[in-house]
Formats: sequence, C-alpha cells, structure tokens
Amino acid sequence: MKAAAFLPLIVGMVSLFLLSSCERKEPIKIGFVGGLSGRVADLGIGGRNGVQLAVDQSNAAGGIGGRLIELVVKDDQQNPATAKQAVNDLLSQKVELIIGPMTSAMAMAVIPQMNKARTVLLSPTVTTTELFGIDDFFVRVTATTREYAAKSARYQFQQRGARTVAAIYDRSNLAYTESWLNDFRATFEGLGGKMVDIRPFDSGRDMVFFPLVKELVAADADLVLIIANAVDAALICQQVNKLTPGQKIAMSEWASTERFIELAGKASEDVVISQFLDKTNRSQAFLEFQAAYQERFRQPIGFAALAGYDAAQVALAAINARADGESLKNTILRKSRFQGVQQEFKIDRFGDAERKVIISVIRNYHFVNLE
Amino acid sequence: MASHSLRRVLAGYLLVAILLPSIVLLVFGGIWIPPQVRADIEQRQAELARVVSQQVNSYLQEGPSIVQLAAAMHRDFAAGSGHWRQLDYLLDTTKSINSIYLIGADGTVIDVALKGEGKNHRQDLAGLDLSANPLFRELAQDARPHWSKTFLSIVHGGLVSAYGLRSAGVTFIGEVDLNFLTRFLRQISQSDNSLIFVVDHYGQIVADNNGVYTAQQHNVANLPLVISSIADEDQVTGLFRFAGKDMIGTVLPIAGVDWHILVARPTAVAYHTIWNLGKIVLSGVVAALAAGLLASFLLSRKLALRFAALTDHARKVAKGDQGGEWPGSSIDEINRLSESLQEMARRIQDSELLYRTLFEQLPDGVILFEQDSLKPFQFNAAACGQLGYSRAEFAELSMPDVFLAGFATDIERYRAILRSEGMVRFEVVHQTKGGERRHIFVSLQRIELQAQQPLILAIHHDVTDLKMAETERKNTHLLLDTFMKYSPVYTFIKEVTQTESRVLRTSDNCKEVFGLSSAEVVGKTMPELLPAEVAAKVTADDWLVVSENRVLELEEEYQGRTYTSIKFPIPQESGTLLAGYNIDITDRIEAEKNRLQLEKQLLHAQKLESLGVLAGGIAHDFNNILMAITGNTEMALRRIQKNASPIDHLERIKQAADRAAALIRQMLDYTGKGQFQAETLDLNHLLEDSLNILEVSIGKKAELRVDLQRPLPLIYADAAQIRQIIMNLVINAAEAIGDAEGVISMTTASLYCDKAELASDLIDGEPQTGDYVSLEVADSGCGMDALTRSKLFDPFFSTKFTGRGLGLAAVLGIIRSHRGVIKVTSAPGEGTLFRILLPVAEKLPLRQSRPARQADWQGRGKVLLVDDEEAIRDIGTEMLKALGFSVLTCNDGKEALQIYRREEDIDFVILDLTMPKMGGEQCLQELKKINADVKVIISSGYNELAIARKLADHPAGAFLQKPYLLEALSESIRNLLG
Repeated sequence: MKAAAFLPLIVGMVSLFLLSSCERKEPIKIGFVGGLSGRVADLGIGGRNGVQLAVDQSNAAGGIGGRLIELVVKDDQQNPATAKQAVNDLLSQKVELIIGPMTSAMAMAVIPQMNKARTVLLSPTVTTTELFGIDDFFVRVTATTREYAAKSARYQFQQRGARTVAAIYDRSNLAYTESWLNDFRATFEGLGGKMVDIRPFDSGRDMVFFPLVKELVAADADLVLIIANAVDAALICQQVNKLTPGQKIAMSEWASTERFIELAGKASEDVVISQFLDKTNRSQAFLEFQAAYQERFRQPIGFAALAGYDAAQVALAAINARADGESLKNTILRKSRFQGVQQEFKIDRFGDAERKVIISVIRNYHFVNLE
Repeated sequence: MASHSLRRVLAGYLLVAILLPSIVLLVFGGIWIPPQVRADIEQRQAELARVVSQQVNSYLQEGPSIVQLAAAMHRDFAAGSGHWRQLDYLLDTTKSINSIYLIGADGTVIDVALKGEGKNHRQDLAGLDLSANPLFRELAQDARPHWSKTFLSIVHGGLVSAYGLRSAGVTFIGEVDLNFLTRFLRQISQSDNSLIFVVDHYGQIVADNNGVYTAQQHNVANLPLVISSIADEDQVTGLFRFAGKDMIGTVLPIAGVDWHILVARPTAVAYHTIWNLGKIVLSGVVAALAAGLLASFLLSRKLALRFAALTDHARKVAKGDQGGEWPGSSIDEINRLSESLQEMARRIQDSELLYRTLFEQLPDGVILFEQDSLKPFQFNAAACGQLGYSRAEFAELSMPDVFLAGFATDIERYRAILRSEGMVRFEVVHQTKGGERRHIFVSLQRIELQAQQPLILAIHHDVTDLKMAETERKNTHLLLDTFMKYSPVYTFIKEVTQTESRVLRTSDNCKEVFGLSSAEVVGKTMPELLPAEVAAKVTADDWLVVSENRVLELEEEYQGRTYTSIKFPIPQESGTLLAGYNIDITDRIEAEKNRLQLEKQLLHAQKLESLGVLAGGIAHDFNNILMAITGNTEMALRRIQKNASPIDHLERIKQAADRAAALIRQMLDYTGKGQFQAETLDLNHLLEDSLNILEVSIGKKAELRVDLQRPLPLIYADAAQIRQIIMNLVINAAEAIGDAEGVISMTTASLYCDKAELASDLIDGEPQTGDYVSLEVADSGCGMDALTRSKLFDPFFSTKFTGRGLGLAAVLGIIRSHRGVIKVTSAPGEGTLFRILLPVAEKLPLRQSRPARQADWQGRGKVLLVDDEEAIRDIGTEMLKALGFSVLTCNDGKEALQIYRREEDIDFVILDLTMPKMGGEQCLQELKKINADVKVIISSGYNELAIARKLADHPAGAFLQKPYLLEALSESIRNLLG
C-alpha cells in the first residue's frame, strides 16, 4: 500500500507527538552535590535548600527561555569516593553545571572529573586556597580561606589581644581546614602571635572530644581556634567551656550555623567567627530571601543556604546570558560581576570570588557583627 | 476543490468506519475508567497510609513510655543511686530510644542514659549546656510533653526526634531513633517507585521508605496536598510532581504526634494497569486499523483499478484514440458510469467536430497564441492562408513575425493592455509571405485556462478588400461628383416610388434647367420643381423606369426647350433609384432641320445632275435609235410611195426597236426592276458553262484561274443575269489588265454572313444574315483610285472609250434584285477584287411563270384593261381581241372600279400599277373588296420580284412584264384562268 494511504494517520500521530513536545520543553538540568547526611549535613542541606529555593523561584517565573530548571541532587556523604560517583552520575545526566560541593575536600576529589568533562563546578562554600588562581572549571562564590583566616587572625591578635593560639581542626575536610589553619597561622604569626598547640581530629560518630579538648586547653593559650563543622565545633566549645569557662574561642566560618548555637548553648557565647553572612542585614533582598526560605523549609537560614542561593543565582544568570556556542565558564567569566543576596561580588578569570568577610560574635544565642 | 484518489477516499472511509467506534470506545473508556482507577488507587493508598500510621504510632509510643519511665525512676529513686545506669541497659533493649537526657532547670545536662556505643560519648555530654535547645525551651514554656523537630543526633549521627517532658523542675528529653521507621517503611514498601514519607508538622521528612530523603532532610512543605493535610488535619489525595516524576499521593495525619503519612506512587505505576489495559485496547484498535487498512487497500485497489481502467480508456478517447471496447464491470454503477462516459465522449466528439469545423471554416484567421512566447498554439486554415503560409511555416512564426516592420513595436503595448483589461482590438498591417501588405483588424483576448498557461485568442479579420472597396467607393463618389459637376448636360439621380420622385444628386448645371442651384434642387420632388402636369408625367415615367427596370428615352419639352431625357434604373436591392440625363436638343434639332434642308437641296441638285447625266445618256442612245427609226420610216414611206419594197427599212426599224428594248432592259436591270426569271441553280455549273466563252473574251495574255468549292449550295437566281454579271466582271478584269500579262481568278465558296459581313455602301436596306454563296473575281490589273471607285457603279460612267457605262450599273442592279451584296476592293496598281454574295436558295412567295407555248390558244369572255397609256390600251385591246376576248378599257383606277361595279360579267382585269388618280395597288385592294375572288393580271415595267414584294399583302392572280408580246399575254391569261 502506498504511504499516502497512511498519511493522515501518520500526520495525526506526529502532530500529537509534536503537540505534547511543545507543551513540555526539555528542562535544563543543574546538578547539586554536597554532604546531605552525617555530621556536615547542615552545610550540605543549607546549600541544597538555597539552590532549591533559587531554582523554585526561577521555575515559578517561567524558567529560562521557556524551559524549566530541574535540580538533580546528589549526597556525597562527605566521602570522596561517593562524591566522585555522584559527579559521574550527574555528568551522565548531561547537567549544564554542578553546584557544590560544600567542602574543600570533596571539591579536590571531583575537580579532575569536572575538568575532564569541561563542566563548571560552582561551589558555594569551598574556600581552600589550593584551588586559588588556577584556570580550571572550578568556580566559587565565596572568598578563600585566606580572607577568612587572615581577617580572623588579625582580629584576634589586634582586637582581642590574643598572642597564643591552641587550634583544633578536622582532618576529614583537610583541604579546607589545613588551608584555613595555615592561612590563620601565617597571618597570626606574622603579627607576632604564636600557635602553641594544634590538634587534629577525625570527625565521626566515634569521636569523643573531651580528652582532646582537655589536652588543648592545657596549653593555656589565649585563644582556642576551632576549625570544624558546627556539631563538632559545638561539642568542642561545650568541652572547652566545661574545662575553662571564659576561654576565648574563635571558629572558622564552617561552623557558623544556627545548629552550632543550638548545640553549643551557653558555650557559644562570645565565640568569634569570620564569615560573609550578615545576620543583621536588613536589606529588602535579604529579608525577602529570609522569608521565602522560612516559608519553604521552615528553618532559619545559614550561610550555606545563602551561599547556595548565591551560587544558584550565578548559575542561572550565566545560563540565561549564555551566547550561542559559548561555554558556561566563559559566560561566567565574561559576566564576572554578580549580585548576591547581601552583596555584589566579582569572579575573577580563575573563577575565584572576591567577597567581603565580616567578623561576628555570638551574643545571647545570636550572631552579632563586630566589624 | 481539492480532489483525492478513489483508493485514498475509500481507504479513508473505511478507516473512519474503523476509527469511529475505536474513538468512541477510547473516549468513553477515557471518561469512565480513570476516575474509577483513581478512586481505587486512593483507596489502596489510604489503606496503606492507615496501616503505616498505626505502625508509626505504635513505634513512637515506645519513646514517650520510656521517657516517662525515666522520669518516674528519677522521681522514685534518690539521686546518685545509679538508677540512670540501669536506664542504659533498658535503652539497650529498646528499639527506639537512643538516649535520655536529664536536664536541670538551667539547661545543663545532669545525666544522660545512652544506648550501645553511645555510652562512649557520656564524657562529652555530661554537663553539656542545652539551654539553647529548642525543645528544652519549649518545655520551659509549656510543661506538657512535646516532640521536637528532627535533627541529627550528635551521638549516633542519625536522624532523631526528641520527646521531652518536664517534671519536678527537671527536664527529660529522649532522642527517638527515626532510622527504625525508615527501615520499617522500607520493609513494607511495595516497590522502589512508591513513596512512603513520614512528615513532621513542618513538612520535614522524618522517615521514608527509601531512606535518602530522610537522611538528606528533605522538606515537602511545598507540596499542596501536604500543606492541605497539615492545615486540615485530614486525609488528602492529589497529584504532584516530585523528583522529576508525576505522582499520585495520599496524606493522612498520624494521631498523637502531629505527623503525617504521605503514600504516593508514580502515576505511571499507579495507572500501570489501566495503561496496560489501554495498550491492549489500543493494540487491538491498531490491529483492527491495520486489518481495516489492508482490507480497505485491497478493496479500494480493486475498485480503483476498475475506475483506473475506465479512466485510462476515457483518457485515450480524450486523446482521440477511438479504438477498443470500453472496459466492462460486474458493478452496475461502474457500468452506468461507463455508459455515461461513452455518451459524454460521443457528445464531446460531436462538440469537438463542430468546434473544429467552425474553427477551421471561419473565414477569419483564428489563432491561439502562447502568452509568453507568442507562438501559435492553434490556428485555423484562414490564419495561415491569409498570409500565404503553409500550416507548417505558420506554426514556426510568432506574433511579431507577421507584423509589418514598424508595427511590431506596438506588441508590448497591446500586451500591457491585454494584461490590464483582458482584451484589445486594433488594426495593423501584416505582411504576407510574398511581401504583400494586408490590413488586418485584430482582436486579442486573454484566455485564462485551468489546466494550461494562459493563451491569447487572436481573431484576424482581413479588411484589405474592405479598405480597397471603401477607397474605390470614395473614388467612385469623387468620380461621380466630378463627373456630374462638370457634366455639360443636366445629370441627375433620383429616388423613385410609385407616387414620388425625389432628386438625390444633380449636376451643377441644373440652374440652367430649373433656375435653382444644385443644393436647392437636391431633396425636392418633381411637383416642387415642375408644373403639376409635367411633374406627374415625369414621376410616372420615372416609376416606369424603376418598376420595369428598363431604359427610357423620351423627348420632353419644358419652358420652350426640347430635351432628350434618357433615364435608366440603377440596380439597387430596393430598386428605387434611377439616373438620367436631360440633353437640351433644341439647338441640335434646329441644326438638324437646317442640315436636312441643305441635304435635301444637295440631293435634289445631285438628282438633277444624275438625272441630267441619265437623261443625256438615254437621249443620246434613243436619239440614235430614233434616228434609225425615223430615218428608215421615212425611207420606207418613200419606197412605199415609189411602190418599192420597204422591207429592208422595216427590218432596220425593228432592229432599232429591239435595241431600244434591250437598252430599256439594261436600264431596268440597273434599277433592279428588270425582267426576272428566277430558278435554283448551281453557281459552279454556271461558271463552268461560261468558261469557254470567258477565255475567248479575255484575250491571250490574261490567265483565267478558277477555284470552286464543291459542293456549293444552290442559289435562287436568274441564270442569264448571273451570266451577265460574270461576263461583265471578267471582261472588266481583262480590260483592267489590258495588254499586259495578268491573272484573273474566280473563286466560289459558301459561308455564313453576319451583319458586318454584309455591310455595304452600295446596297440599300439590310440583307438578311444567313448562308450565302460567294463569287470573287480578282484581277492583277491597274486597280482604281477612290474617285473611280465612288463612281464605278454609276450608270453611263465609263473609263473606256467604247463602253456605254451601263455594265457595272447593271451588275449592281442585278445584285440588288437578287438581294445580294457586292463589295469592291481596289487600289491603283494593286488590282481589283469584286466580291459578290448571293443568298442560298429559299422558296419565294411568287409562283413561277412557266411559259407554255400555245400559239393558237383562244379564250372568250370580257376583259377590263386598265392603263393610263393609250398606246398600251390600243395594242392591248387589239391583242385581247385577237385572243377572243371582248375588251373594256379605262385610264385610271377609279374609273376601273366604276366599270367593274357596273359590268358584272367581267372575267378578269389587266391592271397597270402606275396610274393617275388611283394606282394599281389601291385599285386591286378595292376590287378585292367588291369581289374577293376577282381575277387580276398585274402588268408593269417593273420585274416580277419587285411587284411580288410590293403586293405581298394583296397578291394578284398573275404578272405580265411590260413590254409584252401576244404570246406572253396569252400565257398570263392561261395561268390566271387555270
């Protein structure tokens, strides 16, 4: 039989197919990888929620070019192997880029894959200087540990009069913690201070801090420096406070979450943290973000959520501004300046962001800006 | 309207026939089945949710129980009794509680009971400040037991929810391990695709059958059905999208903990059965469609082939192939269609034949040009014939090729008009193949065809002849106008009816006739121009000309002038026009009168001259004769007186009288009124009989040649007179040759003579056309000049010293009496030709007078002799008496009538023709009136033929030629009396 006889049927079917295709355009896939379980889950969950909120808002506004954004989330469980697997999964799903991971250790583990795939890895919170100044596919929206650590060191030395520091850091996120520690040390010792004790630990359910903290405080340093996640930092603070009440404590921005305050209780009082989240900010953008986040997740925001949200905004802006045939990396670098919720920041040609760092202290269970 | 193949249409109809019930099935199935399926799914999910809710509730009840137990133990046992260590063991036996914190009023952990390996963390947890713990703060404000939000346990790392109660100033918080719930849900999960979430009041996933969502602390507070259930504390079912999949879920509150169970399945899974059923049905429909299509294809193909055969044959017929039978079919409708097509084909063929015949037979050139190339697409014979091309040659031409140079550039202009207005008409000059220019009136029309490119219909009407005719007409008008303008006679054209004759055109000289100008005369009728009486006659004459279509020549008088009016009809379809001339002949008549008078005077003078010559000649001859008579008479009287015998003198007197009679006869011959004894004879015989004497007569130097046509028709003539003609002509010819050597030739022939042939100045009247015998006598003698020729036949004219000049005069008289024609051709030095034409024999009206010699015949009776000559009366009376008759005499016709009436016994009358008072002819008529049977002998010096002509209407009984002797008289009487 001639094809003509089937023509009406074929045309009808093809039309139906095309009609259905027109109704639902292929979504733009964005990957997310971060620690969503375990002791660092607060960072990953905050970041994911921030990204999710940005994606939801974009989709509610009609998506980009009529295409909705589909967020594909993977949990790296703060495990390099798991992180690599997660990235592989995401790359196989042809994501435009991957937002994450939330820790430097995981970033170091997956960057070779991303470079090979020539896909942008856009991290909200990775601050290690090991990735600084490298022309690769790693891009971040936060400053490096150098800015946080140096500022923290100068503040402690100059404003709080600390001359000796006993530090404790988490080796499970060594890329970050070691970088942070070294940067602090360089600045602090450069100012004339001295690191009198440095004790590493491996975060995990088996970790008992009391003996370690007991040794730490025995150094009788002016300042106890904690470079750890919020849960571990809270427990360490509690131990420090039990052993030497009134001990000055400083923390890296990793632990600057509400969860830390919940767990640290009174021990969180006067803990000084260098971070980029200004909880006192009353800008319209921040208030709207805060309200939207609260509405969506019924949780208070943390810096991870804000960083995740900012990273997502960079990703969406780049996708939207991408010219035909242009890579997302080039679009980001070409665009370079992005408006975050609280501040405008610039991404340089190596993908490193310049971002203002503030020194805050916890007073009466709340973060208070010192500068 | 778009058309489709029969096969396609039939297939379509069959397809519709199959599709329609399928669609109805699908539509009704689509409307009725999904709600049923959804209700079924909802029911199943609600049942599952209820089961899970019961299990969760049951599980969660263990935590509060143990916390309450811890509180009781704290109340019942003294501090430091170590009972909290016993709780450690209790916790090791429970599924849900990981740890129980005993917290002081300031939030400091007083003691903590731990399960399993958690005991290692007791050192860290002791003295811990939980004043910032949200649950602790809530319990501080509301002492009623509370469940906290979920959080990750700092001891075990897993997700937990804390149950707290406050009692006696201390707070007991037990962390309930929620991983158990996850494990439980995983066990009861129906499939990997199903979702079973335990969701807290904030939408946070507390447990899930997958474990991932719980570990990742997903929040589903954004799902509408979760929001509804949390708000209404009621079962809610709805569709939602989760993790990239469309789901159908049911949310059910869990009693006691303000948590909710969300049971959901991907719609693809939930509707799997219906999808399968749908697929089966759809497969069935598709199979039916395929089968239907196949069947429709086969059926439609079979039917379409029959139609195709019909169509193919129709197409062949359309192309002119008449051969072959129309395909038949077992289907009535197809047969009827075939019959209709055949009928249509026949009608189309007839129509085509008519069209083609009309197309080809049109006298105008009809051409269909292709619009772009302007090449002939079709054309008729007239199209190429107009320009002298063959069909093959014309087919190779384009429109500009036939335009005369100079006109071809107008084509684009005509094409532009054609594009805008659809048609254009113009006159153009075409050039024929032979270079001739033809004026063509061209009509172009654009024809939009449905199946072909547009064509241009061109109709070429050759107006060359029309234009030439128009030019000729104008020239004719100009000629007529000019002719009439300068016409020396009055010329007119009228329109005529029976009652009216109106001037249409007139020459300018009408002013001389009517005193009016041409412009004033034109348009007027006859009564407006002429007196009523004249006008009526002219109108009647005009009508006569037109109605009888004849030429009328009239003589009209008007205002003292005489006109010759010549009117003739002008042939018109209406037949009412005439033209004519009015020639003023007044002056001409006057001149004619003068001329006639002059001619009369001249003729009279000529007659006098001729008469003088004639009288002179006669007087001369008769004087000689009279001399002889009178002399001999005198001598005879002397001899008688001397008694001597006068016989010699009497003989000489008689000889002189005979000469006088011969002379008279010759003169009568000249006048054509001589004695005439006609008979049928052969001219050749006559010539041959005369040859000997002719040869003797012409002398030795002249050669006589004879060329006679044989046979020759007979003539009716007097043989003696004909011999005399021959003799006279030959002797004349011999005399013309004279002493020199020469040839005299005589030729006879028969021929038909028309008027031209018979025309001659020498013969009066018009000889009848018909068959004639010719005699030509030619000589090679000296010939004659014009003067001699003009007097040749005059009596007593002679160029010879010895002749009396009566020879050729007598010849002319004889020819006249025989109704013949004589012609002379001669020039000095070129000889002379006499040509004589004599009519072929015919029966004459007069009876032949046959002499019967009966010298002794005696009659008896009474005779009336009528003659004005006394001598005739005397000698006649004496001769009649000698024949035995008694005689009465009188000298004219009137007296004769009187005597005839009076004397009833008169047997016959001898009547002279020429008499005073009453001539013989009139007397004869009157005698016949008295007695129709009267017997009359006409006696006259004229010959019989002339008398017969004269008395044709009143024939006499017999004729007696004067002078007559006794014997002739006796014979005439015998003939009369029978």
